[in-house]
Amino acid sequence: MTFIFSGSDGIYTGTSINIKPIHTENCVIQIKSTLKTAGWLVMGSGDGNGAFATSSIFGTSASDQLTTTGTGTVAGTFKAGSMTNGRSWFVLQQTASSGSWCMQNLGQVVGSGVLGSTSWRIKYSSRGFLMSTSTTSRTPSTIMAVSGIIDEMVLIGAGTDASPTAGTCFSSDAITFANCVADDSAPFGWYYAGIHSSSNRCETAILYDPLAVTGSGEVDPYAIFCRDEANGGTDAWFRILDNAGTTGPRAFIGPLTPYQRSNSQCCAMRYSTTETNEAPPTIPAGLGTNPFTGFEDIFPIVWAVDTRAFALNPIGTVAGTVAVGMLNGYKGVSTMSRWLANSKSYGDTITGSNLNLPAGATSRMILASSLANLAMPWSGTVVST
Amino acid sequence: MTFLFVATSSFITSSAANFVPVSGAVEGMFKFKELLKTAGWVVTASSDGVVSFSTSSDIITTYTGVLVSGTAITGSLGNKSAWFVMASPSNPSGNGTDRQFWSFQRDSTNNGTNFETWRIKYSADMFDNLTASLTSSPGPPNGATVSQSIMLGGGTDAAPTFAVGFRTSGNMRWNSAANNASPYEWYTICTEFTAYQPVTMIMHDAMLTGSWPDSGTFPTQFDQSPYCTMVSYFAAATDATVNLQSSTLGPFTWFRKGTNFVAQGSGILRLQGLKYMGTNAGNTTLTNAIWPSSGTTIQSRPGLNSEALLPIPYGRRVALLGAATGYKGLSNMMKYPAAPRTNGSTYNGVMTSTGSKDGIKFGLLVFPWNGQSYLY
Repeated sequence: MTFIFSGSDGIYTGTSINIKPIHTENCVIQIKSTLKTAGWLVMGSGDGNGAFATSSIFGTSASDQLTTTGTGTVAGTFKAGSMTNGRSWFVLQQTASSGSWCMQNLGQVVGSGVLGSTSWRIKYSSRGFLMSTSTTSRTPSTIMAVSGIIDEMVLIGAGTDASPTAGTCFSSDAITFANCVADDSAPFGWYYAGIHSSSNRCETAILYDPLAVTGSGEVDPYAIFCRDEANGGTDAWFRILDNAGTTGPRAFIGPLTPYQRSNSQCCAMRYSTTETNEAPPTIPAGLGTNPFTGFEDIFPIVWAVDTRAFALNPIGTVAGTVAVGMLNGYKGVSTMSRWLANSKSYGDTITGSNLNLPAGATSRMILASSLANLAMPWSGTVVST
Repeated sequence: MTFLFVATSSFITSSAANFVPVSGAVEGMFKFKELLKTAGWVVTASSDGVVSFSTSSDIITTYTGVLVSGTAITGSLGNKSAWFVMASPSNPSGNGTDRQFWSFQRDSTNNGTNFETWRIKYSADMFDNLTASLTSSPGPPNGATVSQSIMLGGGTDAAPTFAVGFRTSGNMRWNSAANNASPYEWYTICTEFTAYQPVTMIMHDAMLTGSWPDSGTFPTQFDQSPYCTMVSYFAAATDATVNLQSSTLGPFTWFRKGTNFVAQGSGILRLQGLKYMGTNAGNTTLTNAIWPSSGTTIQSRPGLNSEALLPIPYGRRVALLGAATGYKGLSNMMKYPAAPRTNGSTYNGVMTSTGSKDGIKFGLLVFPWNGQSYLY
């Protein structure tokens, strides 16, 4: 596995970190290119207005129809193959476990396009999407849809594929430093951090964190997180601690069997000692600098579903049918995200630590100002602020 | 890696788990010794305390005999002051990690009595056999006591003192298990017959591969001793495993980073098994630790082979433990249970995804297990 920091899919070629895309659609095109370069396959895409291609053969990509951004020559109109078009969409799938991401631009209605969309619908499926249900302007449904147990989670926006509603994601044009980092082989972890250039706060955070040391039988060993704070008072990454609200990370828990699946709120756990449940907790930020090396100690993040999440939304039977709800308990240990022993500042990088850097990365970056104990693989370059 | 539960040696073939030792701790420890040998550990020195000793081999061939005569029997662990030293295979975790040593010595009072009273030492360096005698277990090389920890008992090797570490004969169920491959961890748990509390816990745990600095980018931080060890005993009907989380009674490790262990290491000192904290719904206020928990019901995972168990992180924090702080790694042998269950409850899918009753709960912890139902 090697982490990469650029994309080169023939549509976007260049760095995927430390840059301010001129429009939000360019940011999304950049993410798509980075993931394609890392090995993800475009299994389907539509420009919302005619262009449309899908593949239903696992491991074989479709032709990527979204090759550009921008509008037609008349302002507000669509442009062939443009990510700016209303209802344009694409699905990316990795071949290690078939996990798939689907992103759709809902900034405009079909036939229209305006640059700078911050209205999106983003969803994830552990098993992939049913491409035959899609059209040029309609995203595909999940493969498994049995009596209310569905193998997808809508992370941004809501509604249905036929009648989607948007949620806010990605910052306004040219004010965000876009950073997309991806592992180019299994298990294909990646993250995106959109950092507002004036506040240095992460507005948009997306995480696809592969997990190790999972419980036996886990078939989708990933923590999934997508959050936009629209430059509000909270750093988007801070929400990875949310164990019971609706803003936190998620994970599928359970096998791919009808009625036995849970799309659960899955938070990043902190560690403590037994004598006191101190604040801040021992990990992160309670251990200090390693006295023998002078370096930071870093720690793998443990992901779990708190009992409170389960209490708020338990899995159970509703009118004789098993309803979607939370399964609680332990999920796994992060292979990409790390806690720090000391709080740092956003944009700081560390090169020396107790655990090895993943291949391709030459440092770790602290990417949240209000959760300054979170570090991700980084290229070693200075973080643009 | 395979955890063994049956000792098979030239001295004995016997289960080392799920049995009541009629001859008490000398029987249990003898089978434990043979189990570790079966798993690859080596007896580097031993003494029957009365007749002979060796600085190269295992001369303790039995635990019986003294019960009949009350006098010393050649080669019996039942003799007063009998001792043995166990060493792990060289490079037990590979990659240049240090060999591990344990020393176990019987009470020095009488032959055939006080079977529950012992002196136990651990070293992440070595024991110097040149300092050993018939009644004195070997000490650390060059007198560097920083490299060893007296886990039970006290005094010196020349004038040892002993402490109770086990229930008396017939009053405990004995359970020993040992991994026969790297990193060669093992445990001994003895439960009493009241609520089956694990009143004795002796363990040699290793860090999970990938969770400790083992090589590569920062070799100066290489941890040569990725292990965690503990001896815990309660005379009352109290769970001895709780000491895993104690900063004052917790497990020991050589908490060092780097290749120059004298200059950069801490010597052997305590660390803790850490537990997990949650937040409130607004994610701004920390709540009490939630795992492991004594009162929370966790729904089992439908369709999965067993409920998911949590990894145990080891670390030392600033507030309680002084300057030598930091992260050690994740336990390779034990897990936290996700829900309260009774002692002796078994789990599926712990060692392998298809394993049946291959995990067992004692106190706070889940250990590898042999597929049996626990006998109560």
